[in-house]
Amino acid sequence: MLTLEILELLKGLIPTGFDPRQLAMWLIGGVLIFLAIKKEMEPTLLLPIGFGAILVNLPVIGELPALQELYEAGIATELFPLILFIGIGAMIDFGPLLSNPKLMIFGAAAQFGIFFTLCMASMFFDIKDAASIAIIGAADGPTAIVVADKLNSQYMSAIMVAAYSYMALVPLIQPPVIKLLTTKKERMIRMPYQQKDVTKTTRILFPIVITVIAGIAAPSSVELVGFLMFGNLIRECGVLDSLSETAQKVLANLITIFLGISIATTMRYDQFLKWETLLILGLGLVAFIVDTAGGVLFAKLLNIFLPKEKKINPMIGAAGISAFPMSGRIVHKMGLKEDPQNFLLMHSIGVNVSGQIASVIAGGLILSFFM
Amino acid sequence: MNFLHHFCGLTNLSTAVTEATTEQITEAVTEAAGTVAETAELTTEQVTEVVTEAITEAAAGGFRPEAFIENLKYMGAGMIGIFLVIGVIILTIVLLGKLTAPKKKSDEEE
Repeated sequence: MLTLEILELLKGLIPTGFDPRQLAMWLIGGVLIFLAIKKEMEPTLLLPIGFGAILVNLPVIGELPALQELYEAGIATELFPLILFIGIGAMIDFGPLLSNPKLMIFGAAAQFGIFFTLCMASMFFDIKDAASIAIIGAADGPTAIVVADKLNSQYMSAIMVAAYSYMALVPLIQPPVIKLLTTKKERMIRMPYQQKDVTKTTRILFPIVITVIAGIAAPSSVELVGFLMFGNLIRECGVLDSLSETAQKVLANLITIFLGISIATTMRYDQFLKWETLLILGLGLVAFIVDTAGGVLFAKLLNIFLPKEKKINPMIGAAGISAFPMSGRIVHKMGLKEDPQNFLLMHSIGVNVSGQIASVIAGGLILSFFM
Repeated sequence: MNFLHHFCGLTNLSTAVTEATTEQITEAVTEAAGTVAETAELTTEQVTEVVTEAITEAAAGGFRPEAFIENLKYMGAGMIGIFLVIGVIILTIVLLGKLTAPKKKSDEEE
């Protein structure tokens, strides 16, 4: 009985020449390229990943040494995502968050999908792979790469494709979930914005202080938080404009090119075309949906205790995922649709930015649990 | 079909492994490895390595619904941890704001 079961699973070892699954990978690569160009879905990552998927699945090609070197140098060492975080940090303006720091609480709530998906995924995968899959819910490519790499996940390519695809699909995923969980009356709640000045000293001290706090509270996240905040410090210090511009544009673009094409080394048909890939794509979607639900429901919970004039529009909870700035803009647009005089942008962008920090903290906690 | 085949294969193997003794497992692995190695033009050692990995995967898994409950502790610890860290950050930002706020000029107060 046992012998028969083992023999069934070993059928895949018997060589058959050109494998039709390589053709399937060309198709997948083509679809990713189509989505990137025609639908403009995260083209910076999906296009190189799609092209790389075709490249590494050409039948006469074994391993491509150059791609392998890039992978070893940048992904296996986690260098590429960390350097990319410098660029991302330089792009982010934490002003809306610093003027209303209470909004950060929604960034925390919107990470619920990560831990829910961890429990779901653990039913099908071992715990480290489940944790790597769950981090798709961070909606943050570099965090997902670092966590999956540190936990030695064998599903890196599926996790990357899921993470970046769903980040691009946020405009399709979030609105139905938000509408399902809120009433029209709730979506029309106005939240007046009172601009508070944030001093330059606060803007400069913020990245330094956050790095220290993260380093003490969640040491495993210190690399991610540190590089993100370093980029932000370059932006806010006011004396490194050329470095800030370089980090935001040239550095970010350069690393993105290398990141996308080197991820493709994991897109070989024998690594990617497994039933687990479909399951990972499904679990990734669950993570995004539950993230959105977590943020919205937390806002609704808070509203129970708040007086009428201080009620929160629960839609801003959904902006707590790290898909910046897309999620913030989606919430703002949904608010305008319900009430053309309801401007939620500064609140939703503040929450969205807090999600960037919260997702990195979540990644650090995941690493501290399972490393 | 392949998805179901592999999924059912792993679940069946998981059951078989659980019910077998160590000697039975060793005998079955050796027999299966020898049979496949010849057909696949691989050495028995190479096949045994793959089989060992499959056995480990099967022993660890298949579908385990109880794992959802077992791992709820990470959900609790994770969410509490995030809220605590974010709470500290919020307090720090408020404190930073107060400490770095420009002082009102004394002549304005007069």
